[in-house]
Amino acid sequence: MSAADSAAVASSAGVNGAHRLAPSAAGPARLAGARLTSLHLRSRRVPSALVALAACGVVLWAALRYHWWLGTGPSAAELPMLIEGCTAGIIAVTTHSPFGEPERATGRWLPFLRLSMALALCGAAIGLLALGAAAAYNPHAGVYLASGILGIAENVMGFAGVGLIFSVVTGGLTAWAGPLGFTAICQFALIANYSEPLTWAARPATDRGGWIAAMVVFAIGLAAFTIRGPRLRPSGE
Amino acid sequence: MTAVAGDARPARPGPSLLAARILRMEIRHSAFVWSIPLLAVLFIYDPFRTASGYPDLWTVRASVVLNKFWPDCVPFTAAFSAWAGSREGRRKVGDLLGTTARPAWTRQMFSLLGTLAWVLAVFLAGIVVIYVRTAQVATWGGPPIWPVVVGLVALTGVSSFAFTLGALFPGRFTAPIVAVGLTVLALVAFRQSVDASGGPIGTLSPDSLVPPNDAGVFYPMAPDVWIVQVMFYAGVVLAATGLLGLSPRTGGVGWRRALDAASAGGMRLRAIATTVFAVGIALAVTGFGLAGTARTSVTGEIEIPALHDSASDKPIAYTPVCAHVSGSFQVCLHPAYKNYLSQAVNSFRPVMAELAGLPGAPVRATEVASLTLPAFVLQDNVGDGEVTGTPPVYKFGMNNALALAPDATQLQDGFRQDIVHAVIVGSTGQLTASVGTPAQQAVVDGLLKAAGSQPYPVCGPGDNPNANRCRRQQVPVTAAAGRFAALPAATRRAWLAANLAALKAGRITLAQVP
Repeated sequence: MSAADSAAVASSAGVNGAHRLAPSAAGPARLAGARLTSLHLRSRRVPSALVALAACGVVLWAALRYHWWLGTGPSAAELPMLIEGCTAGIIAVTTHSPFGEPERATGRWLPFLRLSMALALCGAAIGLLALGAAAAYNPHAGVYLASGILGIAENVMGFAGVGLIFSVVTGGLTAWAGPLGFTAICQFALIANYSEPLTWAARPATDRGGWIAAMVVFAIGLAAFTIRGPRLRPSGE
Repeated sequence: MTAVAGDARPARPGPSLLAARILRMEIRHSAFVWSIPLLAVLFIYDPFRTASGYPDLWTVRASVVLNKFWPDCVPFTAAFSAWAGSREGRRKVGDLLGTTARPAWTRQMFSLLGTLAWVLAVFLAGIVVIYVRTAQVATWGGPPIWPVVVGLVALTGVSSFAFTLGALFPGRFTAPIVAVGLTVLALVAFRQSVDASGGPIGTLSPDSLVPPNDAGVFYPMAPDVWIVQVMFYAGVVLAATGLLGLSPRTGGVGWRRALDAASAGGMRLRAIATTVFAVGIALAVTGFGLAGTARTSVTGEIEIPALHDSASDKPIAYTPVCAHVSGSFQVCLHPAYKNYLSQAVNSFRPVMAELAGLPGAPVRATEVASLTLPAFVLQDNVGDGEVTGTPPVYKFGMNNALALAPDATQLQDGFRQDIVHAVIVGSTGQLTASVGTPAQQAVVDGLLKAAGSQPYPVCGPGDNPNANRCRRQQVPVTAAAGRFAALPAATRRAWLAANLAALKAGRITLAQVP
């Protein structure tokens, strides 16, 4: 366990930093809250996740700019969908806690931290992918993201929901398998012109049924992850 | 309990037994097994269902092995291989394992083999299902082996590369990023392969276009591209595994010490790793270079000049299967299309009943390699063949006639349209310049309607101003065609016998059509 990890446990437990967490004054309390949040995010490798999400945005930009995709129909959605699946996989693995069981006995803030982190990462993923698409945007040359930012938001949140559900079932480190498998199913649905709401990524970004399905999955994943947290395994994985 | 003498040493398992035991342990603990149910679902709905819908031909059905099943396997293979490769680094047990008797490279090889065993077993199982299903319906030829070899070697390449990346960069993000990265790479390579100017990357993509349905039927499939692909992916396998043995990050000895014969211990292992890596790079570079020289052969396939065997340009001997349609008219097909003979007979029967014996009407229909047909037939999709020679013979190919998705209408309408147009207007070649006078069009459409087929698509598909204007102009032609089709067959035939020469010469007006 690294020093940062130890500090996170200690801080959230209020063992060696009780005076910092004490609500005697608003300033120190805010400072303690910020420190707790910072340590929580660092222990989940959120800075690395942000770098990886930024890389996904760059790949999306390159895919659009250099015409990596095939055709203009449904095939054009294949690559963006894969990249959106990758961001969801990254979000899913950040749910892993290096502390395991002891962390759960440290107070009432953990669910809020989980919720905030998942929402913040989803927002960051949507923003960074949208930034990549915007940087490549050139409608005169036919360079634009067909699904627009709506498609990015729908897929990232829906796939992340699958990842969060998987983190509760399989554990954080292997939760990437959920978004990966679900993206593969959606890719197949896209190619085969299947149009079930549950494979929302294969439907137009403005489709109401697809949005409802994606948001329901996201809400279930988020709620389950917030309340229960990722599954803990004896091996630590 | 048997007593054991104090100085007796326990029996040590032999090296091969020990290796088998380690491999068995790795196979049992591989996480890939969890992806098998999902892969099975994807297999049933994607490659298997697609292949079952394709024509009953070995080459076309076997194409799903690389076009559908291989890309389905890539993300899972990459993800779980990278996951297995990152195991020691992720769990931070490098120091602990550094004291084991076996080198890190050996240990990692078994971990890689454990994942690879599942990957290849799943891939082979899928191929067996597709091939058994095809064997039940195909009437000629046998299972193509090269797609299987390419698929296996390419998946091994994906697995080795992903495993090495996992070992080099262990972390929680490695598996999803490597999986999606390699899938994106496969998708981009596929895009290059369907692009006319694909280049070496496109040539090296196992996932490419579905071959024409008479590929490998009249001429053997040249294995040039497959050989280059095997060469390239085998190179990737060797380079990736060699790198594992050399990189200090994965427990190897590092680049400098690998070449230092005087350094202590493990010299043989370093020499092997260096050789494997060098051979792998050489193979991959050679494969990439050869792929850059790809060009289209005389049989319409992609050939690599340095590897091409001219024997594969020679036609395959076969005995056609024939059936009588009406009178002396018979239709002959390649035995690979035996299942479609009755459909072909039913297609020709009504139209030959109308036209048999008239000047220019074919005396028989024979399937030929699509390659031997004029370019306009293949390029413009104006028909399935042409009526040519004296006496006239309808020579056709099955490429345009037989859709990838079963469509009996396409098969029957294509043949009928070709023959009626050839007799009333002229050969299909002339159709590219003119679809005939309004009177000719009316008679053609009337005969096709009487035979139960769609009229010739003069105006083209789509809802655009030109097509809509054309359709408005066709209204009187359609009315005349309806009148002509409503005549008794004997009356139609008598009118044609008396007026065919004038009609063909363009001297009959639309109003003169009965």
